[in-house]
Amino acid sequence: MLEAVLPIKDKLYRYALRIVGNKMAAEDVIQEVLIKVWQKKEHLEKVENKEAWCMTVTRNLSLDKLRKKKVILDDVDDHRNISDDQMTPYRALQSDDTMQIIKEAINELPEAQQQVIHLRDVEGYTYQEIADITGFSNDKVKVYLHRARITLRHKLTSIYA
Amino acid sequence: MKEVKNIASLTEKYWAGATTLKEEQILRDHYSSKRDISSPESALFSFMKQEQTVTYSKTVQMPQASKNRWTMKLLSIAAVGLVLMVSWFGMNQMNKANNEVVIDDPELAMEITKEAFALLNGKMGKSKAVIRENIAHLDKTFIFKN
Repeated sequence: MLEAVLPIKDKLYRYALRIVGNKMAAEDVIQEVLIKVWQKKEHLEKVENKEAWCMTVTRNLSLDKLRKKKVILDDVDDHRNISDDQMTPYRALQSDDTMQIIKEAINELPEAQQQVIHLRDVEGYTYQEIADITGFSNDKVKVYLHRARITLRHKLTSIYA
Repeated sequence: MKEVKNIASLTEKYWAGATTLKEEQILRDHYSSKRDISSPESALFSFMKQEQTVTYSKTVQMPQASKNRWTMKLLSIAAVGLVLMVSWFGMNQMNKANNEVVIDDPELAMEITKEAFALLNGKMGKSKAVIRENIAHLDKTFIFKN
């Protein structure tokens, strides 16, 4: 069962983190996903798209966690492994501010739009795969993505104006 | 010049939510290659690229309890087997011991038998006393009933 989870553990974690917004809560979700995968191992063997199935389980458990207990949003910056030697300290600072603004702008999006833009622009899933993971229809996925991008464009353009 | 025009039109398509994954990859490569944040697009693509570097640092292990399930099953089977073996061995030893008691001296045999009867008598006496005591208690309850 480990072979089904291991290659996608980072994707699962990032998705959980996007929904719950807290590192510890996202780690808890991953533990719960592992238990669920173990419990449903017979069922999982028959599942065609195991990755989408695991992502759906992650989504459901993350949403449960979010609803049960209001988790405190924290900074996820220390989880990133960025190495950019070309950046000057000033540019790095400016860049960090911009990244923070984008992060906040995404966090302010409705939950469904956040999930869709994450699955598309960070994980690179197709519309159909996003629909399978989230349970939204194909059309809804397109609408949510369109709305999310419009909102982000509007916010970012106003910053850059 | 053509490439720039192409990127500009792809960018518009992206904001409209109409790009394919392949087209988005072209934009990603173009905007996030230098981690340039001079435009909203480059900032957004840099952010998305940065998000992809978030990793799960803990060791992935399947639930411990579940792992132990088979071990526990095997252990319980082994334990049952061991108990059966010990019982069988013990019974064998007892049978052997019972069969091997032979007393050649008739007087000694008589003494041992007497002792055994005396012990049995003592136990019977005690039992009788206990029974009498219980009957007395029963009588008392009859008194209360009447």
